[in-house]
Amino acid sequence: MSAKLRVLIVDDSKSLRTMIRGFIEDYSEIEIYEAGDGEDADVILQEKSALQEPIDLVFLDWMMPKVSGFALLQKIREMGGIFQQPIVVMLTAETYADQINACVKYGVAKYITKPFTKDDVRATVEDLLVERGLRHAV
Amino acid sequence: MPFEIINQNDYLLVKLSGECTGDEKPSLTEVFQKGVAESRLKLAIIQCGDCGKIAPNFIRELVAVYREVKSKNGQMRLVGANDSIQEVIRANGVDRVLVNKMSLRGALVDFGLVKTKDIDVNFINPFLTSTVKVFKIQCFMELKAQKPFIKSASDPLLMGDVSGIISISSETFSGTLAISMTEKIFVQIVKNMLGETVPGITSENVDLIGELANMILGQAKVELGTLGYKVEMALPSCVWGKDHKIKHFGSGKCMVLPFETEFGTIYSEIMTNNGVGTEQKAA
Repeated sequence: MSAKLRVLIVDDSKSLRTMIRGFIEDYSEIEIYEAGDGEDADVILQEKSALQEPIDLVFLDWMMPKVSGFALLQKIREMGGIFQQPIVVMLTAETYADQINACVKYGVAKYITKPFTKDDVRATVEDLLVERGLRHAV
Repeated sequence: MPFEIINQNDYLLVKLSGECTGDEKPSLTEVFQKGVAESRLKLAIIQCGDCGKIAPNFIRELVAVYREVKSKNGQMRLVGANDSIQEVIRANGVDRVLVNKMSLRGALVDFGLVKTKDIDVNFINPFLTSTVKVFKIQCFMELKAQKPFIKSASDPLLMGDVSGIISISSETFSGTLAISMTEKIFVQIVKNMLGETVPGITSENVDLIGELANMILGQAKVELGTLGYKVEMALPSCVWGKDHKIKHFGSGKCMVLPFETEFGTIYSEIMTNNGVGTEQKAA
């Protein structure tokens, strides 16, 4: 069990990363990391896993330069061995059913479409905190 | 049955659902032949959106339907076939016969029932509703849609101090969506969304307007899909500064949708290579 829940926010929009961080940073039980594209996120995920401080939850945007959120999701799910798989929540403006289904196929826990509310984001974090025994269900 | 046939006046719509094995009784071919005899229609659209899987045997049925249509000098198109269906079609060497279109509209254009150069008025409505929704949920700002107007395609000036621009592409058109506002409104949105009071537009916060354009198109494309426009998205970009300009794709008309807020007016510009605002059926 992690001492703290490690959350990675991946979005090419710095403003949206700031907004999502603002929604959840009051939780004392979490540590927040940010990445502006899929490549940087991949580095953080692998580094944290190698240091045995794996990322528990990723909020992942779909459309990003360099490596897209979906490409990163595929890569994450192909990684095995010592790599510790995070829970992935897509947070994206993409709204087509086939795109949502494609993400579900790769084990996405939740698919939140933009625009989203503070409650959408907090509910995800709270569910996981309860599941990990870091917080009691209300 | 995993299929039903609907007479759409101009064409027969064959809606597939679930899994099609080719062992159905009565067969698709039998039901289709009956539909053709009753309707005397010679155009057929095979709607595959709700069909997950097609067995190789069912390809024989589709080819039989194709033969029936061709015998009447008609045409047939598949719409919305997923990757696995298209793979079965390719594996059976009939991908040039069972032609798949991404949207219903694409098939209707092929049949000459809808002109390629026309975009219907309904095209605008999804942008109106999605803009209002995005600003309400994400920016905590109420928008009131005003009367849209046409801007000259040769006028590159955007209406605000800062704009988010995103390209729109589909089978039948390409275009751009731009959302534009004054610095005063933008500063208020930053405050509402991020809880930060900023002195103005900077390279640190300007990406926000691109994200809003992205969200508006993302929401609009759901409704556009029901109208037969399958729209693909691209990465948004942002421009700012007094009298900044935009180079829209194409040479059609540019539709401007104004929205009133308590802080001023927000403008949404939509331009397609085919123009907007009219819809005509081919003669």
